[in-house]
Amino acid sequence: MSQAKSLDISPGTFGERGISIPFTTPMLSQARMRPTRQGEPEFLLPSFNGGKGMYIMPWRSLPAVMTVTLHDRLLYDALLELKQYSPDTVRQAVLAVQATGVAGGDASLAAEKTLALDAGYQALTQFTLVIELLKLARMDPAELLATGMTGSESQRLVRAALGQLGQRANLPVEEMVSRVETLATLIAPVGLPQCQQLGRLRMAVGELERTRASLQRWGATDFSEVSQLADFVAETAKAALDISRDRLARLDNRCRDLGAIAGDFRALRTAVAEDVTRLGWLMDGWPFLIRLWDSVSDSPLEAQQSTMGELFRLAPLIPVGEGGKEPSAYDLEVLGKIQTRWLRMGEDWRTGALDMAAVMRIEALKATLS
Amino acid sequence: MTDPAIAQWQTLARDATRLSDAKFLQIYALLEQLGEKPGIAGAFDAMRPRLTQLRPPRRPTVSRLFFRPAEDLFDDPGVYTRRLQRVSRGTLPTAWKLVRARLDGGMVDGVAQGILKADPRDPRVMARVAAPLWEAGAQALAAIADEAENNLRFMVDNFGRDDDVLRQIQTLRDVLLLGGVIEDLKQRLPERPIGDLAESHVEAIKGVMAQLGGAESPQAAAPVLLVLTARMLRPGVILKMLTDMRVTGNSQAQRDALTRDLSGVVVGNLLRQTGTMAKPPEPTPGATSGAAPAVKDPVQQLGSLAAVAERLTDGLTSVNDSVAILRDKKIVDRVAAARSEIGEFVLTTVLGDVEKTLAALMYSAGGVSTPPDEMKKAEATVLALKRSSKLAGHLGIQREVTAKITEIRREIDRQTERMMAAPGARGDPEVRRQMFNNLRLVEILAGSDEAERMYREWNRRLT
Repeated sequence: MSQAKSLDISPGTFGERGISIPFTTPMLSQARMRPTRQGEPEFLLPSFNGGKGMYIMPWRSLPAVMTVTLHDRLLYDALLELKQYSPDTVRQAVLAVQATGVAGGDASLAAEKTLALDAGYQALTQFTLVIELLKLARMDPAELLATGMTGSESQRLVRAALGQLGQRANLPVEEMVSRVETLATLIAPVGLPQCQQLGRLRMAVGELERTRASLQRWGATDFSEVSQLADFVAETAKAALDISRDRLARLDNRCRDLGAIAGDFRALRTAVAEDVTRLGWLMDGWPFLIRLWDSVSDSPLEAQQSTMGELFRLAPLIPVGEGGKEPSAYDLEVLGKIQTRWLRMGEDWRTGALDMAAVMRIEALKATLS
Repeated sequence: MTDPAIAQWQTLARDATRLSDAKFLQIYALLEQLGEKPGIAGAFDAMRPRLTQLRPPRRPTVSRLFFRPAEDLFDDPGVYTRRLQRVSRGTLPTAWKLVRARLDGGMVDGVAQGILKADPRDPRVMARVAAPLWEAGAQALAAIADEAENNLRFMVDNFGRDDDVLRQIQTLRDVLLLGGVIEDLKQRLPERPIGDLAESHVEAIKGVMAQLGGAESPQAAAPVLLVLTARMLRPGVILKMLTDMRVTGNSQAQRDALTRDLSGVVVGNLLRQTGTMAKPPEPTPGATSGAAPAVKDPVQQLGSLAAVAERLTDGLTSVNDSVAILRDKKIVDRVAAARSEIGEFVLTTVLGDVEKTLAALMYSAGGVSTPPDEMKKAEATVLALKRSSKLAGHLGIQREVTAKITEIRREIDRQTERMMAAPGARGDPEVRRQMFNNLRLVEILAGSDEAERMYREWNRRLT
């Protein structure tokens, strides 16, 4: 039914680590999902009692252990329909389910808003891409930048501009349009460096930096053993940030040389997709933890200490094969014991029953995520 | 200040309760700046019900800091009950006036300066600032109690002829003597009401008990335990901890006596709260009938009433063992009576018109789907009902609660049927939204399995 896996066994790749899923069942919250060899998703759950170990379970085993919310059941249905698992495809499924209202009105409004922002940002990325290409070809983008245009008028002008660019590069207009659309779709989660408005992954990197600093400050002023957990989470964040910044720099360099769109587009597409996907994996799981930490910024010390235990439990370690440290570099056993000592067992842990108040707290956090 | 002047302050404060929140808070802030002058305390008494709702940030003062370790034991004069080691807020102004007169002026000024320099949101710093105040203040309280006992004139002039005030002063003294320890422990434990304890919390409590006297002298920790039981959702947990405590030599009798005393206090307090929970707050002396009552949102009120019932039921259940140890039939009977009183309270106040409240929130608006704000209230309403259903077994009201839930479920089904049968329902996003609104209520009331079953059925009909 399920098997316990020691914390010492670290996943080698992001794929093995799994994708964090914002479930609303408290015991399932932020469980990681990965496909088995048969393609069926399985879930990695940090130990329920805060101790050492990780549970790996197929979905069908969960009802024996806990009551799962309707939201999570519908989300699982949506995940099953995905053809490919990545943090980005999972995010789309999550937002679609959340938008139905099954996780409450606020979470629904937030999901609808995020989906609209995503669509708007993709259009903005495409537009910025065209402007940058025009500048590169020493063509005047003034016409495109004029205000008061309708959507269709703007699209017509973009197409005309891409047609001109295609002519110069000996590419049919359709091919040029297709390449720009493809690149804009690929790059939108991060955003172009030339765009003043930041893409969501670029924003996530900034937010993680802010949170890392906050965790470090907190760790320096908390005199209990919990400060060791804060140091660990801050260090984990730093590892993700270091690799993310490298990736971002690499991606931004590629985007500053957009001439490749008209050249070896396949190589450019592959490289950009690789960078954006890696950034997606590096940030996976952090937005929830950032909001969780933010939610206790004004709370008493004990609440912050308790939340730190939760951050430790859920902190996404970078797999060794992806540039992370060997687990032996951390004293996980000692840290695990500290976390266990500071963890309060809720009613749901003892009985497997659903604590609706706890579910609603998670839903409220979901409503602040985008 | 003369009595008429004090009365004027109270009248002014009562008038302020008729003003808007912003204006009311402005007046409160101005009164705060006046400091501890006679009459101001009475003005705050008049303002307290509304302040409880608005919860403005409070500026720490020397007197507030002085009483902080004991604040969990304070009751408003209207609900104060004797012999439960509680302290009436009405005693505090006189107690502070007498303590202040006995304290070294330089030390008090030093504390006042410390308050100004410290971050008031950092309780650890505030505890450091207040440490000398608690120590000297506890000694002053002992001297005051001594004088009151031996000097009838002093007693009558300051406290009247009621000996109970001396017991309150004694409780204050005992707690303030351990002020630093208590405040430090509070920071290491969850916020009140404390529900579950982690291993580190249990260790912190045991550590304090060991530090204060340990196995040889369990009685020394009594004031800490008194404060702690007042902060716990299930005070029986602390009593159990005490029962399980290892003792040495003659301390067995001491431990048993402490357990008995504390159990009596805890049970007495729960019974007192049960007795007062359904009563409306007593009017402030001198209040005019024209004073605007603080109106609370009925849904919010429903939620807080359910929470009170849950807290008291949890509390009473947690002290079952301790009540048995007391071997006092009278208390056992009173606990049983309290349970049925809570049951009656839940039936009349929480369950009363819950189905009508819910129907008005969910189905009375013009559109197909319930507006988001109304939906939030509807969820809070069914959560209150669900809370009550968890208590039903303990309170003997299972049948009534089940009947209410069944009635509400039927109404949800009826309304959903009606909505889906309407022309154009299939492609209407509003219908789909309302289906999920209804499913939210079903999930809270009947669980996720039932909600999934309903979803599959309703979704099949809409697609």
